[in-house]
Amino acid sequence: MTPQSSVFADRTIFVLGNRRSGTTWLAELLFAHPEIGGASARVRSDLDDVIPSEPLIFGAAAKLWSNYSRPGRDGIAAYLQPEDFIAAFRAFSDRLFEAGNKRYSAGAPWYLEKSPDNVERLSILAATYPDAWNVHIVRDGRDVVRSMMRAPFDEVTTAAYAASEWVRTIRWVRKGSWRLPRFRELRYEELLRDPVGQTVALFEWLGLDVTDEVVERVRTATDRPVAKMGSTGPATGRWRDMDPDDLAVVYEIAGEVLAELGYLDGSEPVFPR
Amino acid sequence: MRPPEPLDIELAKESSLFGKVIFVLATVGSGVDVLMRALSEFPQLAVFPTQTDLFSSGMQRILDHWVQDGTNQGMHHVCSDAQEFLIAARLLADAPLEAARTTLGGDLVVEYTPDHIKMVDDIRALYPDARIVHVVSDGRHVADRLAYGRDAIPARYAARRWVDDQRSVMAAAVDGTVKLEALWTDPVGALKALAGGLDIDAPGSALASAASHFSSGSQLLATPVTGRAAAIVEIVAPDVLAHFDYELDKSARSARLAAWAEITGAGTVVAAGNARRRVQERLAERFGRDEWRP
Repeated sequence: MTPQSSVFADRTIFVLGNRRSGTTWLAELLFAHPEIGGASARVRSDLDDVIPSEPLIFGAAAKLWSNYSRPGRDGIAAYLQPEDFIAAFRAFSDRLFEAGNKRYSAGAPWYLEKSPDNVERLSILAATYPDAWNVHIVRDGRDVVRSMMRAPFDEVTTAAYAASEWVRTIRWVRKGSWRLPRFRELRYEELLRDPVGQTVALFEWLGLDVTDEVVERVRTATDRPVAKMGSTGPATGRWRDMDPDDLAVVYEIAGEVLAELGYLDGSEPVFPR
Repeated sequence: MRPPEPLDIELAKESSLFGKVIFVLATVGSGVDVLMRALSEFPQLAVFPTQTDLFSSGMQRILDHWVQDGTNQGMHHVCSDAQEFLIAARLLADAPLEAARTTLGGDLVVEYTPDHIKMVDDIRALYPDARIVHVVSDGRHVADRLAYGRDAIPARYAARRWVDDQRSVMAAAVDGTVKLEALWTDPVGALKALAGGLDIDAPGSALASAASHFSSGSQLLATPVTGRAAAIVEIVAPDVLAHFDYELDKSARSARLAAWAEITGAGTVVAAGNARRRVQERLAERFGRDEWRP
């Protein structure tokens, strides 16, 4: 199978971003288009909150890719040509995507995939889905840290942990986005300011028809909260009520990246590393 | 966590390798490399010349992500039908094996990866139609081999590796066990029996060529059991040795004494380490010094 012969040729979307950056919300806004299918958070009824359904396909396959990429073509690469390996993996993930569309959005010709660890697997995404559309959503790292610390993530025990994860994600995507021919970055704050306009702009970038009905569906979707996980709703600037010690840690770890992204106004105590 | 049921046998027929894969399971250091070279003499077999790590470095992780432990995330969210997921994974796993079959020629693919011995359930989940052959060699020789040489591991770990591997395979659904010693003693007879069990053609010329790989058998069989690792196997797993019909109490008294010393010593080191950690925890708690925690 080649990307051109895939059932989702030119019709796969990857939403990339750090946890608590609005990835689930953006995905739900894009799902408002009737042609886009995928694992919607709304179908999950097993929990009180509307939380994301993350398949983790590419993270699960990371070991297989390492096996394939050993020096000296040892392991599974012994006789398997690179294009055949990529085709086999594309067939595997396409088949799961098809099952996902059947389950969540029968008949939708596009598939949207969102798993938080995809930012670590950009080389796999690029090799398997060179024809995909990739949207990276970036949110103020201070708000991300605050939100991560309130969410029920067992492993997030400190501001340092959350800030490091945010920095790592931004760096991974910025470092690896050159591999993705169709790549676009979006700020969470801009999406919050104008969710309909930003979503419609993405539909246009994807080459999808935007009718009045589609706009109305997006408008309806903007009012539905998703992935709250302890927060009271989408917002920016809530980091101001953070513990000052935690905030100092965020500036120490993420100050440079925050500055790079234009989130600082110069008054913050940033300590470049 | 992988799906609870294996791939349905009818669905497995979608694979071009349906009924055409043989997985060989054995502890590293058992001498299976010789068997694999011997099997490559059979024209019907495409023997993978290197370990693929197909499950140990790839498919097991994919199967485990059906439902990720602790988070409930995983591929079941997109593909709620476990069988659909399993057949997709099966076809992915087939790719390197099919490539080997095409390149090497032959009808059946034979694969051996040392770590697969502990993954029979994962292999069965995707390959309910495969033949899985367990190859066992006297654990005392295997443990001694692992405990000496350039890549040596401590004797107790060497012994444990063989014992754990055999226990896991004893509890699993395999299609047969072959003793390496039988191959060294009577290669033609044992290979003929193996070929019969696997339902593969064994023409006389191929049998003779395959048997020639075991020509140094008498020398190897005469190797005495001398090491501490071997004695540990005898002490901790006489039931496993007996299960595979190996004669017991072959180790020398001195080796058994050394083995007991290692077992006791290792236990003492572990106990001392635990005690130290407990003391550190208590002191950190009492004085509120987190940095003292182990």
